[in-house]
Amino acid sequence: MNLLDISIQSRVIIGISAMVFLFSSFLIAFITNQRKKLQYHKNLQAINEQQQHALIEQNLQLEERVKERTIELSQQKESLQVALTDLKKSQLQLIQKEKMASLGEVASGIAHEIQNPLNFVNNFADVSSELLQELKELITTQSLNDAAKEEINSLTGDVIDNLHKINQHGKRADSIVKSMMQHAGGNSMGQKEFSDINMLAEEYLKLSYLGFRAKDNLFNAELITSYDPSIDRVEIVPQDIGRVIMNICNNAFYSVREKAKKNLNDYKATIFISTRKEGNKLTITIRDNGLGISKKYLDKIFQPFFTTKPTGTGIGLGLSLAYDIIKVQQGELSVDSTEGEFAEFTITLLYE
Amino acid sequence: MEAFLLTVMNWSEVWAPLVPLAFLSYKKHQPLFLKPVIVYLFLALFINLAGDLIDVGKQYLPSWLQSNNPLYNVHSIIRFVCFSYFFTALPYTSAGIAKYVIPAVSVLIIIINFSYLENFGNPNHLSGNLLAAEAYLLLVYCMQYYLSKLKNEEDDVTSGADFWVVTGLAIYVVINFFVFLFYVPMLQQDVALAINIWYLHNAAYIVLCIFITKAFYEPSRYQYSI
Repeated sequence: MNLLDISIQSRVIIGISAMVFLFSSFLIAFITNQRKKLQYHKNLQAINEQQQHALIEQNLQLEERVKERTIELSQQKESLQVALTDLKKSQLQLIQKEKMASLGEVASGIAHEIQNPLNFVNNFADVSSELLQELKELITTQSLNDAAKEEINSLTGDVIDNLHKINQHGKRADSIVKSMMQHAGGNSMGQKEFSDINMLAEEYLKLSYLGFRAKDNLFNAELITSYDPSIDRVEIVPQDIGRVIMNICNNAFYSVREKAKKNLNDYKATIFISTRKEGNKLTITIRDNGLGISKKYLDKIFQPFFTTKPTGTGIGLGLSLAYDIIKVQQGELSVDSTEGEFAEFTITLLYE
Repeated sequence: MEAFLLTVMNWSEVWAPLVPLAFLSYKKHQPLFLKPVIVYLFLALFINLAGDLIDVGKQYLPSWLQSNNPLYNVHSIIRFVCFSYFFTALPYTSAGIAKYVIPAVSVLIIIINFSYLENFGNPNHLSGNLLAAEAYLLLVYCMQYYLSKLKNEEDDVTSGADFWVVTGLAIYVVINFFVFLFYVPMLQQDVALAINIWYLHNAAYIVLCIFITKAFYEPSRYQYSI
């Protein structure tokens, strides 16, 4: 078999060509690969930048949302705080109401039990006084010596005086008991009718002032009034509301009078009364610049029989009665005071 | 001394594979992809020993067995097959289309070479074309390997058993491509030069075996072992 021979020149060409081809291919493949890698890294970088941008945007949005949510949460917190405060206030009022209701019941029970024996005391004191008067007249017709007559007259006179005192104090006790009974029995003394609240306030303020002036004509106070003319006639029990205004005014005048007695420099007793219509509510504010009420007494002043007045001058039923009347009218009676400066009572009624 | 060195160099094809094989007996657990290399070492030892023994005692052998040149051709084919397996068995490196193209090309070259250019059983010289083509194709494998490593952006490219084997093989085939290509014409024109050049082949073979030994010494990065 004839075999072809490859010359040495051909071998050189083949060898060099093969090597050049191989290393060129390797080089081209390597460069192509590097370019691909470079392109890939560029793309990766672009994607990375896009993602970075998106991330920044998302972060900003997130921050914005967090801020909004924080504001919402703080608003919710504030409203919850307000609701909690209202709730606590309502709870305290409820406790106060319950306390007063139970005290009222006890007081009315006692008053009812005392009423009958008190009637006996009063009636028999009256009868005894009359009997002693008759005895006195009878003695004048009898033949007794002057000394004996004088002695008997003196003794019967003393007994009659005592009986008058028993009767007088018995009547006072009777009026207290009646107040207590009234307190327990729904308080109302009349029928509802359309009344001018401004006139009512003016009338009872003056009544109260005149009452104080009658007892002490040296007493003077400045009366400042501010009535809302837009208030129409409202359906109320005028006697009840009048009583409330008068009780509060009485306390106000008492307070300013007591402060005036202290002879403070430049002190001018002032009572301020105003009416105001706010939406469907009507407020009557009575403010005095008297002694004020100590903080420790603020939650007790509407309790029956609570009084800071000296014994014999007040029985502690005025404000309690006022409170109950206003509650029956579905209104509110509140107090604000700084001891030594002022006391302000606000009556809030529904304005329909 | 010179005679001793020449003898050592002449027998280098026998003792060189013994170095990694000796080390293998000491460190038996090797990655699975080194199995074709180990098989090659055993076969190479056997073929080279047979070749050198034939060369030494050829006067005692029958005439048809007096040439060891066909053994070189067989050795070349075995080396190509074993290292082809090695490259395709390598994990994490992509031989790509080369693992299909290169064996096909090699078969084509063998057929063409032994049909038109050379005689496989030629007792006068080894098949330079076959050996040069085999060296070239193995070099393509090596280049493919390095390219794959660079593509994968591995942190440590210059370590691992596979790297040492491939590098040893690359050195061997780069040197010997030209040796094989010009060996037959050189043999015809200047026998002494051809013999001296063959020492270069032997030196490259020692380098290959040392690199394979280093590969056996490398701690395995892969799970599989034999």
